Amino acid sequence: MEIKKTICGICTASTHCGIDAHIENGKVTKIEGMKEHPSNEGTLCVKGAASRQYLYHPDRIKYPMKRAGARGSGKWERISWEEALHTIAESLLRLKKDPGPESVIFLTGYTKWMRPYLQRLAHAFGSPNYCTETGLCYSATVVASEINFGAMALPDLKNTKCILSWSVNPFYSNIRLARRILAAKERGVKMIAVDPRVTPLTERSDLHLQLRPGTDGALALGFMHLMIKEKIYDKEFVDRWTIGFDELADYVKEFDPKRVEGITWVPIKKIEAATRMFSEIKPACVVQSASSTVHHVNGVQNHRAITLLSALTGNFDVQGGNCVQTPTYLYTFSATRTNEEKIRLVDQLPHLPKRIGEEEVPVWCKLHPEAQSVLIPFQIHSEKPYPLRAFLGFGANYRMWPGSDFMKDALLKLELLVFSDFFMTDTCQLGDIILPAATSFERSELKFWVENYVMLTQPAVEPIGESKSDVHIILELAQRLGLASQFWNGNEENAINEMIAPSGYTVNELKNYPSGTFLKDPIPLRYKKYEQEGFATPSKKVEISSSILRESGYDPLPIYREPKYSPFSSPELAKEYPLVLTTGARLPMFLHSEMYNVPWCRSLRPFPMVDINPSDAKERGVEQGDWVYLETKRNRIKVKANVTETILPGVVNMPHGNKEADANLLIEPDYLDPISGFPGFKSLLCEVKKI
Amino acid sequence: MRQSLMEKGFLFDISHCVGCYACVVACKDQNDIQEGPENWRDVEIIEEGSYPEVSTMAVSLACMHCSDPPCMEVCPVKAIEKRKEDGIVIVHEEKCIGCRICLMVCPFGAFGMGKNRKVKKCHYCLERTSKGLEPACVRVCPFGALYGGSLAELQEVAFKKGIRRFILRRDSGSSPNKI
Repeated sequence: MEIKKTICGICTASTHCGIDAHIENGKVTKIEGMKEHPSNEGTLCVKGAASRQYLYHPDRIKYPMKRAGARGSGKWERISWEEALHTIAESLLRLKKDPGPESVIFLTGYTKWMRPYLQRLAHAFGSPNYCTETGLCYSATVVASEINFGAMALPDLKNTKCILSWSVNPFYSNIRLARRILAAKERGVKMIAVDPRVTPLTERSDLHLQLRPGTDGALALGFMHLMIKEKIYDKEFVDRWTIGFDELADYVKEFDPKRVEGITWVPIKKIEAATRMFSEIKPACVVQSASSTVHHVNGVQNHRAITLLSALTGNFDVQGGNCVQTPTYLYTFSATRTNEEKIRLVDQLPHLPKRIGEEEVPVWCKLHPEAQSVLIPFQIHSEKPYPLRAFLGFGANYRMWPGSDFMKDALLKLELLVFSDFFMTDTCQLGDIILPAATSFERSELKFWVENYVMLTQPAVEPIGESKSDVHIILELAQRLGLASQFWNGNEENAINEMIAPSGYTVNELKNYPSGTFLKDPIPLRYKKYEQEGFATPSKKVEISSSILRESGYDPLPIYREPKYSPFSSPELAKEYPLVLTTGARLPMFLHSEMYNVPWCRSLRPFPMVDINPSDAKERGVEQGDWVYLETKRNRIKVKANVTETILPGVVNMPHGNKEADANLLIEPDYLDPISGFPGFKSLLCEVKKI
Repeated sequence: MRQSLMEKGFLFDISHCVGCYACVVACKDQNDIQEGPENWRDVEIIEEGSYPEVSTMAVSLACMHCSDPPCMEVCPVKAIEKRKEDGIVIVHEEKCIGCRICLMVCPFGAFGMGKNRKVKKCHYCLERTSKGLEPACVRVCPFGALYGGSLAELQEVAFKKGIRRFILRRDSGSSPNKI
């Protein structure tokens, strides 16, 4: 038996865990967390623990294939890599001439590791339409933060004394973060949790504010109302470093605790206690979710209000507060630099045609150098401002889109659908050409961690069938598109050497550290950088009143708007659909559409289930395990009832990504935030009906 | 039966278990157990109270390697042994007749039924622990809810955890209250 060092690649790029793969006769026989890895220190989550069934799943795609019947007929013909790449390149070059390179969409979902190279391919080919799953996850929180502060600011959990966590349950989504929060708790750090659900994090917090989904902004504005009224905000910081405070003070007058209780369903006493705790304990930080606060139709403004709490309490860019950091590589903040932005050819965007979404969501597009994936189906259908013809998806799944059937129909209108994936998903089934991708166990991959750690993995086992690393696929395709010189003539090591040059490492040096290494020259973190440089906003200050938003015709203040579908904003609809629906919260054993097919995970939750409070279940004659219809005005899905006190009365919670009960069928494709284009996945109206 | 402090066991810290199921799957990976009902370790999440006073608890349970195992008492064919050297309770599958009496008397629901109609349960990851490694469930646990070792070592862990909690409560004047 031999132990090979690798990583789990199942979840998102910044939270992957180090793995010891036990190998016998070239096969993984057992896995365990890598002890010396600072991110997971020998531990794993349930999904990572199931890696062996993921790697050796019978549904892994083993060979390139082309469609041998009608789309979706399930008939496939095995082809060579040569034929697959040749066919794709030929089609793309034809489309490049007519109607133009912008008609080709390059999209990545999970895993994310090939992203810089795919964006380079899109831009070098001449298409501005590089899109990602991040177009409806995470990026809106970055955009909201950039509108306010000109940058993202991460919680300094090591040095904080108070944590305000907002709609995040890292115990089921991010064990790295959860372990650090637990360590803070053990140190005696005070914790406030905002979440409509009872979760392991709310259970461990001193205060739990159980709000109605979508009212996050009103709650944050309620905090501000009290801070200003009780003069417990940081006046010195606010006077010197913010613009728009007076307008805000005026606006939040209407967010008195009584009104905020009415909107959010959080009792006044808790709003007051949380505001005082967060204002008085220094330093304090905000732990935000990657997406749940921005999965509302007022998401960006809600998120702006939440993050502004850091500024109002003087906790911005200070030790133990929220500190400005620049991403190093693949959404990960590590104390070094890479050439990622250069390699992504972000600077080409102004010279390319308009991106999908550039007219609809100009602020998001200005601050986020991608096309907005959420708006793809609309442009496919409308062909405005120009037609779209082909879609190359790396780990793409149409069930990601709100109104997923609308996206499926749109895809089927395209001339060419290419999917690179691990498994024959129902999205792959729609494709014309399917490419087998290698998992993290079978490929070599560069990765940085927030613990100032870096690893260049080497394959632990031979790839299954003829599967290849996504980056290899991209480099080979680039060669056939006549872009060889821009793609290191197909040499991946040269690509990585260029990527890591600013960090002072080379591929050869990193190969000496099979289990990774701490950065040799970490750039020390500086606090209060704004004192020298100002903030990276147009005014160089924290923009409570945003010039960027004003210019594009949006409200410059972090205003609160009710979800479009809510008991208060659409009372007529609420008569028929009285329950608030929130979707997409994580279960420990699944991740988006992943792991439902892995038996060890699936057997822990064999049926799709909707969480409903016992009081709401009783009213409907529904008992635990009953089959019910979860219905919105758009559609309905058949699920089992999970009658649980962990969800707020009046609210039901449905996980997403399960093709057998796709929550996104319930949501209209245009139920979107006007600033980011993000779907309002987490607040609409529904009814639960016993079957 | 007298218990030696050198016997092996698990320490389960309920305040740190979140019901993430990592231990359940790590056990299956280590012991090559198929998905489905045969769990050598299982997790149960228990809810108490109703809105707005709700609390949940998660419990991860496997064979506790009892000092006086009732399963061993009742087994008609003496297929269950508590090992003298380390106190680990094991099933000798070649003797098991699949009568399931052990399964019925076990207070922790530790037994599963294998496809070969023999009872199966945690053997404290003998393959790992004989090499000085911790059991797979202990290794994987991300939140410090499961510990393995001799009873003497586990006492030490529990004592240290207790001290830390005592200090925390003193510093904050009381245990953290919820409103």
